Amino acid sequence: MAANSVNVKTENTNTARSIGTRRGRLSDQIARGIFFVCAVLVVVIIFGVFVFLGINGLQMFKDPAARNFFTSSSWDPSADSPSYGALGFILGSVVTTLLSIIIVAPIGFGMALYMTEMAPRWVNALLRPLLEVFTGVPSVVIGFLGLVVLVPWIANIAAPIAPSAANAGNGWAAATLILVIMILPTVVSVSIDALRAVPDSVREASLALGSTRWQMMKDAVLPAAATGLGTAIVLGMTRAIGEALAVSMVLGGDIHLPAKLLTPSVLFQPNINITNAIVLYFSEASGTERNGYFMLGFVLLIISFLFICVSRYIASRSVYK
Amino acid sequence: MEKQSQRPAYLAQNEVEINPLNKTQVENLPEVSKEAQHMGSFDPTKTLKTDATTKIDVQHTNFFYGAKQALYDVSLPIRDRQVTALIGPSGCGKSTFLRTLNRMNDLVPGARVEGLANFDGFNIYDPKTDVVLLRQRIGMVFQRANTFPKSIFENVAYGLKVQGKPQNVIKERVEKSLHGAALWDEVKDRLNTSALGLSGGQQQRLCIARALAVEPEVLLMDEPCSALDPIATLKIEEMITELVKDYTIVIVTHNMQQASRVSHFTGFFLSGKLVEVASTADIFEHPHHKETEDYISGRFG
Amino acid sequence: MSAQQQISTSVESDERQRLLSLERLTQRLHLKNNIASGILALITLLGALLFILIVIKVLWDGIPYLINPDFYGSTGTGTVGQQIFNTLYLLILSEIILVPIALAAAIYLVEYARQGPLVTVIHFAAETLAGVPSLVLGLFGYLVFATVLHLGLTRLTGTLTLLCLNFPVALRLFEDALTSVAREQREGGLALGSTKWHMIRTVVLPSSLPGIITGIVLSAGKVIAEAAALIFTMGSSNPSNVYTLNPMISTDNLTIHIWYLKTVGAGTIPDNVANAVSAGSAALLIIILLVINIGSRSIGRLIQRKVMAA
Repeated sequence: MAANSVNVKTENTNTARSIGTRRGRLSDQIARGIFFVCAVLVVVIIFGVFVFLGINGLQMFKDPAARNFFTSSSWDPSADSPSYGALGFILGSVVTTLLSIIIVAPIGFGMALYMTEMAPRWVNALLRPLLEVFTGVPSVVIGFLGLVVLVPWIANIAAPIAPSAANAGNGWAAATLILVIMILPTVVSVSIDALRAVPDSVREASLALGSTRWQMMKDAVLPAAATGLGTAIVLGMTRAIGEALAVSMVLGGDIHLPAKLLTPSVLFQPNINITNAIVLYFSEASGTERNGYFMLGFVLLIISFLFICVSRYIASRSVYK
Repeated sequence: MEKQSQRPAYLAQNEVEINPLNKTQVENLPEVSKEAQHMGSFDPTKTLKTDATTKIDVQHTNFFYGAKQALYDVSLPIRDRQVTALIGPSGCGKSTFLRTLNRMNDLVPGARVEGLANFDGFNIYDPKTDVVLLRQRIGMVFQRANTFPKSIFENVAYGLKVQGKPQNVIKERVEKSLHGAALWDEVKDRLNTSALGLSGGQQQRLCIARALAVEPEVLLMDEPCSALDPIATLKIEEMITELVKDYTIVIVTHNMQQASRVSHFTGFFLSGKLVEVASTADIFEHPHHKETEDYISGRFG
Repeated sequence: MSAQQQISTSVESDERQRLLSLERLTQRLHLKNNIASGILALITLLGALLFILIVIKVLWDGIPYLINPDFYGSTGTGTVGQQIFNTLYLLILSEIILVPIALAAAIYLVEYARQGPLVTVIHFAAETLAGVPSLVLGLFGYLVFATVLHLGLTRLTGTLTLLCLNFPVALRLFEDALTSVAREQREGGLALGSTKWHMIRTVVLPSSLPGIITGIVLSAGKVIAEAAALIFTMGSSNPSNVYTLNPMISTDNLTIHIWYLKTVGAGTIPDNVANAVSAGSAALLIIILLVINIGSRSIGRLIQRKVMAA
């Protein structure tokens, strides 16, 4: 309506028209400028994240004691000769992330397959919203549940093989299961999108050759969706490695990696990872130690960035988009 | 001797007979002479057997998409080792009918079929019919080439892997089927490259090879040439006239020349009803119904 | 004659043989298919049960506290009135900052920018930012907003950190909402002789309102659920009076409160009270998120209908 009236006016008088358009042009220019600044803000923020964490983190290496950051697993800033080996934290994050994705991948793909290829409509109507809610579930809620349900449960089961029966519930096993709950919805949702992107002609082709539905899923749909499923895995890992509070609540560790790493019991005793260290010690730290936590954050940032790059690369190779 | 020529012999025959126009020739020849040569070489009236046994006997078929009826009381015999063409304007139900024959319509929600299609003593439309077994015996080629995003070899081997055939059988059959689909010479050096890199016509012939590999008894073709250029179409028509020695073929086409070039029998569909079915020559020269005459003479909308 | 008959019978028996073996084969295939389908159904059932049981467990444990009005008070231990106020405050403040900025950025990308390196860079930046762990963004917020900009540990610092966290998500949702507006509608708007900005205001924004609302509601869910990005930027304890609109004070919120009670603050109040508060808060959070997720769809639909009608 407003546009109409402008139009009528401009046709009637020349002067009104030029003023109107000039004013329109100006406001258009200003609006455009503002929008541009906001869009570029995303780039500024991510750039700032890299720069600020990088500068503060790398400053720790001014301290000669920090040279062992990537080579030692002994993190002891308050010792007489302080040590800043972060390998233990990194190992914790890597182990829990890998274990959780190994559990999540088959479950996630299985659920996504069932929901896209087999499920009656009501199952999807029930599960999709549930998965969406859990994609954004507060990590402290899962952490709290982990503390009151999961940790005692694991403690019961694992007490015989754990070094200390009292603490058998804390550690990498509990953290892994927490991560499974945290990332499964993401992996299922992204996998469903990947499977939906496979055109029905692929399914028809397989069925017309006399395959069963299972063979169709296994030999035609899954391979055709491989890149999308790869993206699902990588996105799941991105979430897992950065997950902080829920994991930190059940890990129960401080700064020490267990002595015996290569036994199953390593999963069932208080243990460490990157996010737990930052959450527990960052606010009290100062000097090299504090920069060390920035450095740990920077390491997380780099890992996440690599994951994103990998997922973009995989997605770019996809046949169906 | 006789026994050999029954089923797997098409390989040997193809090598001798098929491809009188091989690739280089086709490219050098002007279009008109290609057509002429083709018409001369493949005359279905020469291979017409009016006494051929009935492979699939379809009786009084009604088909519904939900509440909407798409086929009305269709009865049609599919003759053994003959080409049956289904023609008619778009939306007349010819594709729907074709897809009832291997139950591909099962995939459409709300689809329902009534009637009888006697295939080797059982009713295809019976809900208890094993569709997996049925589709292994009745293969299908779709309107658009639906190649898998896999290698050429993997595409053809797909149905064989489904049947759990051993590696050596798979290798042998893949080669044989590619010969049968007149594609071997074009792809033999790149069997392990992606099938999606092939041209449209090559992909469609790959899909035919894929269907042949499992050695079905009947081959359903749903407008296999509608997305192809004239040369690719020609190659597929050539192949059909060869394949019919071993396979029963049902082909849906919107192209009447194509029907007359390749088929022995033709059924004319209109608005979900089968107006008439007869030998192709009869349909085109002495149609019994006015609608048929109008359609084939191009007087039809 | 007889020789021919023999041949035809042997052909027939060959054919029979082939059919029989095909039948045996399909029997096997069906068996495998049924086993695999059963396993897939079972996996899905267990996965679904896991999530359903979590919801039931959280609600079962928490609702007894939720129905007690004292739970929402602000005096004594075991109350979360302050935390609820803080959560709402943070929610509103961050949406006020987030929505205009993210919407403006989305408008630029959809309506003004030409496809090219700049758009690719912005999208790549957004995707990368979306993948940054919230704890890392918390460190960044601490460095930049609290330290460099001297805002300290305050609600404002927390809000700005949440902006970094939610920007890419909201941007994506708003972009989707804007692109869903049909091209004819836009061209119709431009043909009327108005400027582009005028066309966006009068045509694009009203039609994409349902999608924009969905984006706002979903980012609201993220604000309510977030804790890791806030513990170093907003704090984890409350001043004597949190019921103020002052953005320059340090407070906690519901999620931080749960975390605090179960970890660094364990022992400040009796363990059973801490568990009670956590259980109640967890149930409250889950209920809010369920309402938000179900609500975002129906609100979007409702508005769509209103827009269509008008």
